[in-house]
Amino acid sequence: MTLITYPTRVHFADGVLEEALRSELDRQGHRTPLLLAETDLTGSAFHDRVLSGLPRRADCATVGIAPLAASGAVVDAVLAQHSKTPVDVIVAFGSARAISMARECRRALSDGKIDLYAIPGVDGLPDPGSSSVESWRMGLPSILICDPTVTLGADRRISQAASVLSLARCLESYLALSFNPPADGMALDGFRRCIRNIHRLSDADAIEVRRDLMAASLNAMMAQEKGIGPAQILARALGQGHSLKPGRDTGAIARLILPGVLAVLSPEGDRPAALCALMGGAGPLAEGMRDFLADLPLDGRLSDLGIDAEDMDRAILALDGRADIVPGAARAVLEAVL
Amino acid sequence: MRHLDSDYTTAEWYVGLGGDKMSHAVSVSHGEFGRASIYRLNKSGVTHAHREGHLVFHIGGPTGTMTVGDTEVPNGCNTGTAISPWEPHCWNGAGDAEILCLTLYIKPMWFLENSVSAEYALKFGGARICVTPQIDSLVRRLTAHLLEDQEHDGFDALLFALTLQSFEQSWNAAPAKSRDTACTRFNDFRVRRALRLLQDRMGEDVDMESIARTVGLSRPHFFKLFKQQMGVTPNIYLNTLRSEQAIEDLLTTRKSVTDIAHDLGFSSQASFTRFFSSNVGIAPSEYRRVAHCSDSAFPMLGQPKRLSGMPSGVVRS
Repeated sequence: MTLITYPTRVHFADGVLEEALRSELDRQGHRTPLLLAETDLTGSAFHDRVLSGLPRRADCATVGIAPLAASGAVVDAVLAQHSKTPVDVIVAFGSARAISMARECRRALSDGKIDLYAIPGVDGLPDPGSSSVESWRMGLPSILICDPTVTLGADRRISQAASVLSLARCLESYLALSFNPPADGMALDGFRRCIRNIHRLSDADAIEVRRDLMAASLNAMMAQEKGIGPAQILARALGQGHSLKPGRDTGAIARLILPGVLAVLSPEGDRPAALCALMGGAGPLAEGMRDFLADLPLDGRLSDLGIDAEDMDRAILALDGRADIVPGAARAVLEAVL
Repeated sequence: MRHLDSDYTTAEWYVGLGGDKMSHAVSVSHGEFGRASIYRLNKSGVTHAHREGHLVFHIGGPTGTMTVGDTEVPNGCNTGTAISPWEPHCWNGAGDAEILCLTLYIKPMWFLENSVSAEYALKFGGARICVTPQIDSLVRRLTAHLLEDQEHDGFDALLFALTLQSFEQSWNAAPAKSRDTACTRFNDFRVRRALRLLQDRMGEDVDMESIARTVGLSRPHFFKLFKQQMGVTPNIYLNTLRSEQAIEDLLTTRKSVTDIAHDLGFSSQASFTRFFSSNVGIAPSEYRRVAHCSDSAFPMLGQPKRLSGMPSGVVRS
């Protein structure tokens, strides 16, 4: 039996941030929002725009996430703030890491009962969870405000890395066996947008490209109702223990391991062919993907990202219980790009 | 039900500011959708703007005119008027003649939530709405609902149908331009900073020169840039904020009109009343008396009960 649930309201338009944020807070009567973002965004145009979107009655507090802050410390800071003034909504913006931590804060504050608004930036959206068995509903924001204009002028390499992660999510979701036609549609559309635009970003910072890549990021997140694939789990696990950031760095990792994972999975049926057709090739999928990703201006080896053999061991453990990829095969994939 | 030509005793208002011209409010209703009113107008207003999408339909009297942006458009039996959020406009009327109008202020979010194609946030294609038989019927039915002094289940559905038909009409009549015009508001950090300053200083005697200086611009450059980005001057924007706050205070607090005036930076109740009447169309004390609120009209303030005529169960002090 399939139960398909999408509990997120999504605003998606150029320049929509302020009006959407204001309208949503106003509509739901939230008066004490907590803003959660990286400290390096303080005083930025993005931060300024979020502040401009607060209704005049909102009495907001801010918790900044320092570059090396552990999620536990951020949760503690949010809990401390909440004890001073009860928070009725968390507004996380600017980075996948902030949105990911906001999810933990939401859980700690209210067991997921308060609203979480997410406003993604250049590095897109985090995984809805770290494994397929986590709560899908808890992993999704209540409100998602996608405004491609916030990414204009941002580091294009970060955007490309994040988009590779979107590509991996869409691909793995589309290839997953569970029956979920809406997720398949979103995954296929997100995959197509990534294929068409990731390389275009090397040449120009056009709003059309940014819009398509943000749409791909959104589709990729929504498509994950089908579950999380092995490349994602490995990328996420490899990034832990370092100061690597979800989105940008996990995207760079995903670029290195995705072709190898695909070669191991060696998916069959008409789905790989559909993906190959979108990439303009005839297959096999793993080879096509390797060629597509090869010349992106991202790190060439896992070790360039500070990842070592110990991280590799931990990542392989994260795959425990999966039938689609055995530990030995996963190790071979990782060693090939270490 | 009250009839259009008689019996306005309980819901009528008079604004007679230094002359014998008076405008009247027959009915004002606040809800999740925004606000709907029936006005009897016989004096022109000042240029102002709303955060909401605004529709004005003629119900009775001679044809009047409105100025929307820089264009004067008729408002009569065959032509309604649509004004996009933050589009400056004013009511010109028809000389001394009295005109009866149905006026709607629709929250873009409410419109989006109810739309099948939830894409366009009430940015109308043009100011002129051709009043088709369907639109005419919806206007009449909504008017009848508003004139009845009770809530109706079908009110929101009628309101949405009228807004949708008007929205589509406005684009049917528009030149072949894209609906996808990107929103250019808030692009400039100085304007964003000014928006926050105006919001924070709404209750003070705001000096635009000082706001301009604070955001690093000369006064003329500040006005030009602000108008480019927001569609209205900083003064009109500030007036909109004050009008919104005044309406909210009138309907959700026990504060006296004098206190509301002072809290909003007016030196006297008289100057506030003049401001309110020019911008909202109704004297504040009468607005408080006439307006009805549904439970969902002001979610930021909790869930107020129906506040018709300000009964004793007021929600905040």
